[in-house]
Amino acid sequence: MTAVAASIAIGLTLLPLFGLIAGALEVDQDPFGVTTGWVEAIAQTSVPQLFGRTMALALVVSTGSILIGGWLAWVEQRGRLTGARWFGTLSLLPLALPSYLLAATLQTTLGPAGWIGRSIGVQQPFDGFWAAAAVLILVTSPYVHLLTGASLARAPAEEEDAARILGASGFRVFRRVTLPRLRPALAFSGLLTALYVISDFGAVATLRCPVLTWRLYQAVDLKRFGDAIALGLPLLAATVPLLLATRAIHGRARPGRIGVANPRPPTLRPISTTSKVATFTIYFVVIGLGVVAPVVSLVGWIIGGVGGAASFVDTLLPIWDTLRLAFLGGTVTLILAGAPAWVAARGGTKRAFWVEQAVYATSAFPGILLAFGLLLLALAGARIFATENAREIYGTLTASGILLMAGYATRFLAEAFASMKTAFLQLDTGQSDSARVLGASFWKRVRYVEFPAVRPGVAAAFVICALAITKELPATLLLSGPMGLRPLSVRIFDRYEDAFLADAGLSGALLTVLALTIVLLTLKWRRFT
Amino acid sequence: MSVRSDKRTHGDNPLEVQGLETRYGQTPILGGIDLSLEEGELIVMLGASGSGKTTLLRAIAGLVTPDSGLIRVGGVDVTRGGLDLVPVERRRVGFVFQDYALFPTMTVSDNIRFGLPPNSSTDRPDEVLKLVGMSAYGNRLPAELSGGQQQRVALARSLAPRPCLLLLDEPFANVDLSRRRSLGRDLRQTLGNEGMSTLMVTHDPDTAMTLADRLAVLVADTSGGTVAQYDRPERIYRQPLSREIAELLGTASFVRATAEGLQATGPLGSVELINESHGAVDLLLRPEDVDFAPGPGPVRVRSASFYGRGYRVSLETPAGEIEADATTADSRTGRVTLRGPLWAIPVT
Repeated sequence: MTAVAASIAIGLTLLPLFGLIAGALEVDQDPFGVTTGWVEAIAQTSVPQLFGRTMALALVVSTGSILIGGWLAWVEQRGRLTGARWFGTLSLLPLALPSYLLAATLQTTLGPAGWIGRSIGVQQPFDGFWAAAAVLILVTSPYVHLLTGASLARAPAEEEDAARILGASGFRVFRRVTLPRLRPALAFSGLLTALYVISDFGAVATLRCPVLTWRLYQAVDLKRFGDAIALGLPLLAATVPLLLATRAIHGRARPGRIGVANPRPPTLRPISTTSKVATFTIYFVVIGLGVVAPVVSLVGWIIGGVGGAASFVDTLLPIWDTLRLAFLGGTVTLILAGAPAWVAARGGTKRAFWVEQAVYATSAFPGILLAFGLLLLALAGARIFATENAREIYGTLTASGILLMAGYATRFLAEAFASMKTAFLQLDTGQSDSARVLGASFWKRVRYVEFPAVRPGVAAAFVICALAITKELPATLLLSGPMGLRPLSVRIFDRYEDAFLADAGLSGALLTVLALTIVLLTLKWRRFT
Repeated sequence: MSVRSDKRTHGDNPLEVQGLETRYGQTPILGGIDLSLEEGELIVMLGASGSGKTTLLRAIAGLVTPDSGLIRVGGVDVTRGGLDLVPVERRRVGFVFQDYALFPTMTVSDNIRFGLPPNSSTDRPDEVLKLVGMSAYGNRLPAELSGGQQQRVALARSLAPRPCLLLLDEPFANVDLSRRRSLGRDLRQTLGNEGMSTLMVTHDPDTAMTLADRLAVLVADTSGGTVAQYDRPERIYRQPLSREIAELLGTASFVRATAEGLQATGPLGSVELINESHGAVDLLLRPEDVDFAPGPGPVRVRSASFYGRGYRVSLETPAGEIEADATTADSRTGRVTLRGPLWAIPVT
């Protein structure tokens, strides 16, 4: 079982990487001549600048997210502030929005012609580096907010009380007692944010911020695979160290709680007027730009379209494609995640630990890189196994959907894994044992004891994966085209690019409803675990 | 580091609590607590779980703002009429938490230095570590210590800044029953050496009675917890003001009798009283107040449990069920005599 789990987890990571490496190595034997010339491309194109800009974006966004998310978490967990709970929940909602949708709605809202942009007299269009940074901070700060908040909620409040009783000022308590507890959570969420930014395609493409992922997509779109490889290798090089750092920090032994737990809620302290003003300003900006502005924009686009000539029937068709992909992709991912999750839940062995690490590594690679790697793999396969009619084989492979399913499974293996592992942990061996002592047969045990225990977790895993697939853009964009499908996410991206706002708006609204469902289900599921 | 007010005049009590009330939402927790502590005294507050003991300590420390009442620490009003006048960090109280709340990322020495002003004597950490017998452990991390050692470090940490009052929350909750007695003895000695005025809360009557100079019994009803009796432990054990207090301090049985001055008569015969009473009373019978003679007689042994030195037997008598000590558990019947004088609680 461990072997199966390990091969799935490691195999899925290696497939696209093999593709990339094969593409890079076999430049001279490519019958299409599309993978050739990547060495020259690195020298000719502005790869170093793109790499630098990508890293700068990751740094700016991580810093911003840690400041905003960390501050809000601290105020909500330790301060006495009326309304913090409601505003706090609202400020988490941008989490549900795909980054391309938030980018598109904010671009139309904050640009010179947008309702906010016009009223404050904006001259510049909302795009480029800083626009992308702002959008990505809005999308990622909820992760920091949630992770840091959970860490603060777990930290024993008595330590802070003890420090105060010993005469320490609020700042000293924070610096000496609270911060050391929070450091792992802050570092972990900062690294996750950086990984997210490096992988992001939707926001940077919509806002025309020239970074590796967007340029990579453009190169693939123009069938300039040589240029794409030249961009993919540095993207891979940026991802790997971050990924290793994330895995090293995650689950690192934290200073444990001393003594026996008798948890009391933390002592909430009044906060200064300056801090209150700062906090509500942040809430105002985050909720205003991350929730209100997108909703108003979407509604505006749809209304504008009703007056115009947009064909809504045409817009409703992509839902069918989206649902088909979500169902198929969710099922494939769930099946593949089953064995690793089982091994990790039963775990304890060193091998189970590495399986888990491999699963998380698999899903951390940028979607655009995975998709491109799979394309190159198909190309290499066609070349090796069918030199005669390589072109047809390649066409069949891309049209069959195998590549897209592999892409989804790779990208969302970790999501499915986490939920399924939790579900398998619900299996109480005591209950199985007592069922056995009571004389229940194997099937009776599975039917009445074990299956009911894991069912909600497996269902949740499926829903989470299916909806994540619904939001996914880069892999879908690259790989669903040859299959003749046009799901919602692709539709929004294309239609927005072509300025069919009403059409993009309706698709966006549908997608938002689906995405909000993910967040609600995830939060609800978290309460049980 | 905050500046600590040192306006305390000599002779002020280290702690004075008057009419202290707190609520949690609509639920009253403390319903008017009155308490005063003298210099160098160890007061133990005994109460059942949920009677508001910890809330009282947290209010004194400043972690909970009471709804009304007065708290005075070392002669300084720190809380009055629902307002905190002195913030937590300037109250000059020491607090040993039930879980000790040691800072896990700092060594033992750094934990202790945390509460000391930057320019304070460098000997103080060593001094308090020596006081609790932990001199050799200054460079350890809290996680490397046993539960009992952590507790001593927590004690040293709160003693280091020389607070004028020490608060202890269930200090033996995480310690094995068998070690409580010796740890209690050490604790008393340490506090005595420092001349520390201490308020400790516990739900364990044995700890309470062995350690306390005076005992405050906290009893909660629907309007919150109040101090039902405040006296020397032996006096509360022998002469509790209610049946509930009697039961909090240890095994207690009650038999109904009619009192006439210093004499009471009931189904188990006539007996001398400690307190002058009239009319219907409940006589408090501690196991040592009852002589049980095995053999033929009107009393039936319902159950017996062995506790080492002898048996605790549950007896069915004409006056109801009572608990007594016995040297054997062989006989199923016997007779009892009451050893006066006994304490009479008026029937309300």
